[in-house]
Amino acid sequence: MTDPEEAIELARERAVRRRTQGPATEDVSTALDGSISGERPSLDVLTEWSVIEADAGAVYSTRRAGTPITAVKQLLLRLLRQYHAQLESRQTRFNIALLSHFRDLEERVARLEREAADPAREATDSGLGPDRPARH
Amino acid sequence: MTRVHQALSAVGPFDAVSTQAQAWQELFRRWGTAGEIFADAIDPRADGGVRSLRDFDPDPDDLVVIRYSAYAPTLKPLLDLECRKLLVYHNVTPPRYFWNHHPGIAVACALGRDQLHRYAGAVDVAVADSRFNAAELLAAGAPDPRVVPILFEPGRLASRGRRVKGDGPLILVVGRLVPNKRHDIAIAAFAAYQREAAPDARLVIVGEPLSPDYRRLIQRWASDSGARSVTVTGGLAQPALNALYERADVLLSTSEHEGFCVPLLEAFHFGLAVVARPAGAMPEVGGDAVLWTEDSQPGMTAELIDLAVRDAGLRAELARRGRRRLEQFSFERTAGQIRDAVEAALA
Repeated sequence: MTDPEEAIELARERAVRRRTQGPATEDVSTALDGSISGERPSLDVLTEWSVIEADAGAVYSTRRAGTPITAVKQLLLRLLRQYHAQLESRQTRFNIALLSHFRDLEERVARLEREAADPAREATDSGLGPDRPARH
Repeated sequence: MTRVHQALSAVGPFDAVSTQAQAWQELFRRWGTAGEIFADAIDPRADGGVRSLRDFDPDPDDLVVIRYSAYAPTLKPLLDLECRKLLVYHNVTPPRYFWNHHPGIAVACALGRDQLHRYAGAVDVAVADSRFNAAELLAAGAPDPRVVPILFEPGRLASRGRRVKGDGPLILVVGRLVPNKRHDIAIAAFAAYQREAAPDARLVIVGEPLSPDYRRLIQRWASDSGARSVTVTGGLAQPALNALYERADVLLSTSEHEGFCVPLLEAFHFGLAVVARPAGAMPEVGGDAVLWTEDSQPGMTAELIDLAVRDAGLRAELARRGRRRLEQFSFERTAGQIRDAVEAALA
């Protein structure tokens, strides 16, 4: 009988040995890694999400005999497509405008932080530095 | 006479939070205390008897148990009620798991985590079902959160569905089909185990899917991994799940965020060997009765499955330790802790 603590150690050793012997198990990719976002989505991801494109094919019913209910839901969505397109476009317009403001703010904050850290150099780089002293 | 009502964000047919609400209500009934369950969203497949939160109108003398597992618009007004309040925190999954798969759920999780502090500071008593969850409650501002574990009812595990047929080792994964459960890693580990050690092994994945699309995604991972004999059942009623527990050789969990993990206790009840990642509250629930695998190592997980299936002595020792763990979560013990929390809220 293998003790549970010994079993864990044994499995670790075997996995390492198998890995050194060739590809196989450790090469199995974990499919989900890429789709789990960070705690705060990046600006690029936000830009992608800002365009609302609801997929009417994704509606479903959780009821036991839900197929006809799903069909009715899809029919309703088709009938209301024009209305939903208006809603989607208004929401997308707001999202894109907001993101644009947000980008401007981020750039402005970044520039101000750089200036605060090194005012002389930043002023020179930006061409806004103080006038050179006059030659005598 | 004081009534004890329970309020939830959602009630479903298979999830742990809904099951706990029903278990507590049954307990209250035994104590002679009246009360009802109210929810913001009610799945049409859920057992009857649950009423809409929009109809909730308690008396000032009543106690409201708020079960918190996600944001729901009708939960927040409960904090302004005159009656006494007991918060039960079941954890809210971090939204990062859902942004790319179900934005609506991600929003509910993000708001749920953001607003936890409002609930933590506005109730008479705050309870979490694990120390892991209690730490989150404490961080959210609850002054002295209590730990009251899941009310585990062995009686629910007595009924059996249709007997599970077939030969070969049966590996079981139980839990909602959602990204934080990391079914991709479970499938990768099973594929390695089947390829290296047991070509006739089978994997059964049980759980209510996040969406039909997500269920199809899991099925695609299974087919891409090269594994054979992988079945995704969807949510199962308890008798059918019990029949699977009875036949299975190993319960496998590769989840990376767990507020408690009820399937651990169910597996211990059936004397089933468990191979799992030590995520969230799982180590405090499973203790020394689980073969803990290291993060993101399908190879080591596959080896542990192989050892658990082949070594009868190892399985017997794990079953013995599992029974001992169950004593920590006995019905009587937890019922006493619930009574203490309710009495403290009413004091």
